[in-house]
This record gives sequence, C-alpha cells and structure tokens, in this order.
Amino acid sequence: MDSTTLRSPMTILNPARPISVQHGTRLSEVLKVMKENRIGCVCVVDNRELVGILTERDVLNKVVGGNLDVQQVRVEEVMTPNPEYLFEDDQLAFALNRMSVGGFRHIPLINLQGHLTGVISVKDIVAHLIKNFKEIH
Amino acid sequence: MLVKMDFDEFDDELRSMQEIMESEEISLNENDLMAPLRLLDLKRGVLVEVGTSVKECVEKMTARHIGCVLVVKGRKLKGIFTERDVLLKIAGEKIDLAKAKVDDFMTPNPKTLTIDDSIGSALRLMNQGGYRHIPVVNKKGEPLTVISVRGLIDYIVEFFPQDVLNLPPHPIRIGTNNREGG
Repeated sequence: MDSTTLRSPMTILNPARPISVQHGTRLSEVLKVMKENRIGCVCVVDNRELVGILTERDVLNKVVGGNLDVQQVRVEEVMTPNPEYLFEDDQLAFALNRMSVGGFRHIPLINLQGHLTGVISVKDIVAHLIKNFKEIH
Repeated sequence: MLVKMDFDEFDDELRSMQEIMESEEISLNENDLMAPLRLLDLKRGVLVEVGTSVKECVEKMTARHIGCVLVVKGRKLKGIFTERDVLLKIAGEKIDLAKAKVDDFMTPNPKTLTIDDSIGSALRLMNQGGYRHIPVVNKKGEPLTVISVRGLIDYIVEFFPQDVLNLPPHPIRIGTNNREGG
C-alpha cells in the first residue's frame, strides 16, 4: 500500500455489492438476511436511496441488549439513520480515514444519483494488504 | 504587487516544497508488516469465567464498547464470545439471557497469536478466517489481549498521516451535514 493507492478511487478494491433491506422491514427478516449472508452490516434503503445502516453493533446494543421483540419492531426503529457514506469514486484514503478516525467498519458507497452501489469494509482493506504482501508469514 | 523575497526566505520555501514532495512518496513495505504485535497499542482483554451468563457478557460488551470477551477457566483461554456469535446464535432466538451460559454460545478453542508474532500474520489470519478479533496468549496459554482489525487499520494508517489522518472528514462536496453512525 502506498500514497498512490490511497489516492485511487476505492473501486480499485472491488467493494462488495451491497446487501440491503427496504425501510419498513421487520427486524426478524433483517436478522435472517444478515445470518444467511453472514454479514455484519445491512444497508436500509427507501426505494434505492440509502436511509440507514444496521450493524452487528446495533444488534448487540439495541436488539439483544434492549430485549426487543424482533417480530414487532421494524428496522428503522433500530438502524442508525443517515449513515456516513462516500461516493464510489472518492479516494480510498477517505474510507481509511473514516475507519480509523471515525471507527466505522463499513461505509456505504453511492453513485451520483444517490443510489447505493456498494459497501467498503475493513475486510476489503485487509484483503488488499494480504494480496500485495504475499510473503507474509 | 510583487513581494520581494530574500535568499533565506527562498531557501525555506524551497525546502518546505521538497519536504511536501518527499512526503508524497510514502509506502508501507513488507518490513513494516513483519513488526511484532507488541508494537501495537494493546489493552488488556476483558475476561469472563466459564459459566458466566450471556446477559452479563452482553452487558460488559455494551458498557465497555468492545466487540468480544475472552472466556477463561482459571487462567486458561477456553473461548471467545464476539458480536458475531451474538448475531448468529442469539439475536432473534428465544433464549433466556440470564440463564444461558456463555460456554454454549462462544467460539471454543479460537486461533491465537503471541505478542511476538508479526502484524502481517495477524492480518493473514483475519483474512483467512474472516475474524475481526484474535486473542493473544502467553506461553502458558493465558490470554493477554485481543488484536482487533481496527487496531491493525490504525497501525497502517499511521504510516500515511498526510494522506489519511490529515484529511477533512469528508471529501469536499455539498450536502453531507448531520451524518453519523455506520
């Protein structure tokens, strides 16, 4: 990893396609999506517009910690609304900044139309480092 | 209006330009990733005894803003209980958290590292196993701390203060007010 990589758009890491649920989805359904896909974060959209994010941290703090009835509660009551996002062609450095300084593990990516196009996660950064340092042992 | 610059000022200007140019060519090399984990900013891991209730573990994780607790018997590491275990095995299930024991929900016998292992080996283990937390134990198998993916990202980012840490929090554009979470 070097300065040139950090100034490249984050699409060079091939961020994962986002897994999203619609605003209004029951929590039980959202949890099923997270478990089946084994993902720590799901984006909440209204049509295609990003309106929130629900992470494992929210599940721990609010759902399990708060002993919520997942059949009754809907995702918007638990999600973090208006999450931080980046544009898919922003520099990779901004994603690292939000991960390190902001403490985020996942950052949704959007295009100019405001549509959710991807999610960049700390795992993408780790995978990139490993790919470029094959001799690590 | 032209401002006259004396030779000293000119030299200073030239030197600072050169510094900026040089700082633009930073890279993280393999030696940096061969550095031992002991160089990281490590904190003591949070331990719970085998038999502790899930409720108590969840409360510890929530209150201390941590992603996992280490489960021990005596001083030996027996398992790790993480946010992922909470999501996969507990959330949405009909479980009495006060009665449920952490032993039944933890990941037993997790992969471990020592503080003399390299930062690169931690990255590789995380990449292979999809882990975000790896316990660090001493020679007796007693847990000392937890390496988190966040700690590794912080280590990497410190190599690029100009490129990453000194950035404004957002690329300059309109309409990014009042954003939080993630």
